[in-house]
Amino acid sequence: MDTLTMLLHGLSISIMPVNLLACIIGVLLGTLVGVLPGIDTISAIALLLPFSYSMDSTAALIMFAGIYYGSKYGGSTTSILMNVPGEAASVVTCLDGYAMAQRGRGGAALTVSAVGSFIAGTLGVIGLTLFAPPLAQSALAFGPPEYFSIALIGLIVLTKLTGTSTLKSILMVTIGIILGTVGLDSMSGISRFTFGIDELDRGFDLSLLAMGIFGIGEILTVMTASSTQSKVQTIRFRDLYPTREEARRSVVPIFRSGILGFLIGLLPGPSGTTSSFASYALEKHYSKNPSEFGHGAIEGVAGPESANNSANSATMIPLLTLGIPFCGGTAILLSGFMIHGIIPGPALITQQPDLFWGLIASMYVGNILLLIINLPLVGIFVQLLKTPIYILMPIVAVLTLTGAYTINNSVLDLMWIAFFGVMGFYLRRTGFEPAPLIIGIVVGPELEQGLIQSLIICNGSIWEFLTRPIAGTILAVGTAFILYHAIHWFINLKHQQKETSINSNLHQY
Amino acid sequence: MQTQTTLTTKNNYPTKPITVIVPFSAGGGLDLVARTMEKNALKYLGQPLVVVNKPGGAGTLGWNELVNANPDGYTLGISALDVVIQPLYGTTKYHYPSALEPIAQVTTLPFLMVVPSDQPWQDINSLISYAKQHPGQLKFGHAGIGSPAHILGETFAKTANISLEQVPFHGGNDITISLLGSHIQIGFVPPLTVKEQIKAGTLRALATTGEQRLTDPDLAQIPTFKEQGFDIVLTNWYGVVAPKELPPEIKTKLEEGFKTMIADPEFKANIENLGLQVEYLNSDDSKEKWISDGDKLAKTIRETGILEQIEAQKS
Amino acid sequence: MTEKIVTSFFLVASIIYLCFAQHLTFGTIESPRSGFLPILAGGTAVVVSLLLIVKQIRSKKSVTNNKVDWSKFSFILIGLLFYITLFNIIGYLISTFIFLLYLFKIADTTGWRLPLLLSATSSAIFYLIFKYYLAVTLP
Repeated sequence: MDTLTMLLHGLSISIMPVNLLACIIGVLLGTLVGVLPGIDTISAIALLLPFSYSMDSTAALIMFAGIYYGSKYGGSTTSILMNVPGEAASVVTCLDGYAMAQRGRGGAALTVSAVGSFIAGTLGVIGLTLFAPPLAQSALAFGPPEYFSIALIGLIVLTKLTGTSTLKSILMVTIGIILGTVGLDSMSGISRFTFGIDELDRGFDLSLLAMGIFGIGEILTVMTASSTQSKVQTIRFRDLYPTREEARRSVVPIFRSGILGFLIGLLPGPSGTTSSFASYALEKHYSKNPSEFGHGAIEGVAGPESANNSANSATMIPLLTLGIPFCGGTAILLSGFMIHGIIPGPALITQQPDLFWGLIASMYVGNILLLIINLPLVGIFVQLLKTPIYILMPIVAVLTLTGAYTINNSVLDLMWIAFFGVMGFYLRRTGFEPAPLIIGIVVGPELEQGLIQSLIICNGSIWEFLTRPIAGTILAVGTAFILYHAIHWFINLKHQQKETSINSNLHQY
Repeated sequence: MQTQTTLTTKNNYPTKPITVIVPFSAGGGLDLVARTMEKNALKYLGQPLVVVNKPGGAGTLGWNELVNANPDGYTLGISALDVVIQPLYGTTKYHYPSALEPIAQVTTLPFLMVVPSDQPWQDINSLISYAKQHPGQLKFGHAGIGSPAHILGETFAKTANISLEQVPFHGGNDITISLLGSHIQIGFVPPLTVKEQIKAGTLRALATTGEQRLTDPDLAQIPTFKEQGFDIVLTNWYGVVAPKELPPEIKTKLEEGFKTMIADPEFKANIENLGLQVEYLNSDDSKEKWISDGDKLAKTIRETGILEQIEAQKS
Repeated sequence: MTEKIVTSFFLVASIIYLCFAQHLTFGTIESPRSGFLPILAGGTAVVVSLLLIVKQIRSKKSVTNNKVDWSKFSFILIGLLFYITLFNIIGYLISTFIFLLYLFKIADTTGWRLPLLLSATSSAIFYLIFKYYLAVTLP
């Protein structure tokens, strides 16, 4: 009841004209940032800091938060329409979203992604409203050994996410891990595999890699196809929105992945990306027809897009209640807060209730605004698909390159994105699925850092590691899950072999 | 013709916005200082500052770029203690103290030694006696091998004659998370990162590494290491640097501009709001400090075995 | 064939990687050092790519692919390299305009008026969005 009163009070603050305007500007900018590949929340907020100096602090914070959660809405747009992930968290949306767009269901994919983002984003804010302090406390029980266990199990489970060849997936994951080791390693204080090239010290940027392999790779594939299919898709109004069947199939994934994403968002690390991948694996596991995944399964869009939005809301919890950012996006939000003289921490709720509840209420308002903004945009974006490929692709190429440049303001990055583009082009032609590579480069560093820290914390004893209650449980459950699947796979293999041998015997006669 | 244009530009300097390279990503302490200066620049320098983040390689990428920038006063950078530390490990491309020119020192900030408040230690001595009874049990978190916090931890262990295990993290925030969960026992972090935790009573600060106590009323009760009889002093500082061979007229203009900006009470209030302390030094004094800090730290990293630790990672 | 070449590329790359990883200290399982993950990952990559090559040599079926216009492919790459080189020299606006026009012509856009118009407007719009609305520093 108390929470409700405070929330209503917050609502009255958040709909004050100046704050509402700030919220609208924030979510509009967020949508723009999300749609444009390359430019991410961190740089967007950093670039806007100077303009906010003259603003009222509550309004400024509402605007920053709006950019932060708003950017997750637009991220899927380019993934679905052009196979160019706007950010790493939308890589997995390419798999089924783009396949849907090619079948003429792009509008449906965009709509489901917007609605899923809205529902899951709101779920996340509800979680934030009701349980913020206790959740933040329980997240602290997870230390490096627990992160390591999650990363390890995650890596194994996610490897077999897509594609047909297990060996190829394993190779892609390892190549991802290898790419992740390049750069100055703060764990050891030395540069690894940089060959004296200065800029390699920074390591490979995840978004850059994703934009190269998926985006530029796709552009190369399409532009060089000899039989340039100049047929323009005709899109009727009812194609813009999901069919009854598609809507029905999306409901459960949106809620299920919404909850999953929320939990992942409570842990430190790049939760946007990991939650979307984990959700894809989860939805594929629970789907009645997993073979549809990768060929335009609506669940493969609904799940991940919901998961990364609720993860996003969840990352606000440690920021607002502990004053500690768990990821890059909230780190820059923290800066935004501090520039305005607000230092979030355990005392924020009691000392600045107007600000705290105003901000939370604005997130409900902002999510509704985002839905209102994004649904009509679906129609406009789908029109883009009517543009002939020979006009669309060059423009997308330049947009991607410009976005890539803005990540580090580095021209060398453009060389890398070209290289990864060619690599993506060849990977696709040879049946290598690049999504596991992204998993490798995300999870690899977490794995290494977690291992080194855990072993020091556990006094170099693996036994002490395994007997930590949470880490041990995660590892045990994970191992059981993997064993179950391995046995399942093995039995299937036996069946298939028997069938093929029977078939070939039949053929002989 | 050429010389004439340069002359007029020198006299009118600055005629266009000045780029400031921040060698760390947006959101860090360094970035915040740059942005506070950005907020005040127009008034004191006559032109706006444009903050550009060039993160990576523990700051070295941004500083390398600054070393190579045209010394015309239109490209400046933000410096930190790492400018002095990084070259000591012999892995950087340039020796920054001789390749860069300090314009001003803006702020200083010590580190705090913090422990989770559910641990029994109320002061350094009880911590030390616990460490002596349980060798190898205490772990301290720092922001990467070779970072100032790592140097501090090893120096403390050596001065107190105890053994502490070091756990590398990606930054002050990750250390704080692990401290709050009691996964590690000691952390060396900038005051800003843990101020709210200390106020809320979830973390306890046992000492600060400054020469004097902090002026922030919430943190002023924390004693220095020196007060408690330990010769451990290490303060990080942020400053403004330029490439070498800046024309003297431009350098003077910049020095003056930044000096008055830093003296402005509003600027001071902004910086203090961030949990930092303003401490202005001019170019020559900064240069001196670079040299003295460098000499001191070169000795420390050899004596504490940090140099060896880094070299042992390669074979 | 391409499949084998790509796999061999990964094999060679991971062997080279593994060689360089030897310069890093492996440590032990109880106390991993900077070479721990690189050596494990490099080793796995070598083994897996070897297995893949063996498998690809033994299997007869090859992945069927769409035909690729290789001259277009190389023209795009050459254009891309020029664009990246010119990027810092002649500035974002002009280099992007030229590159866009070049890509439109490669993509067989007919006529000159439409590509010229489109290149000019899109490069200007991107410049505006990134430089002014998002305040990115572009050359």
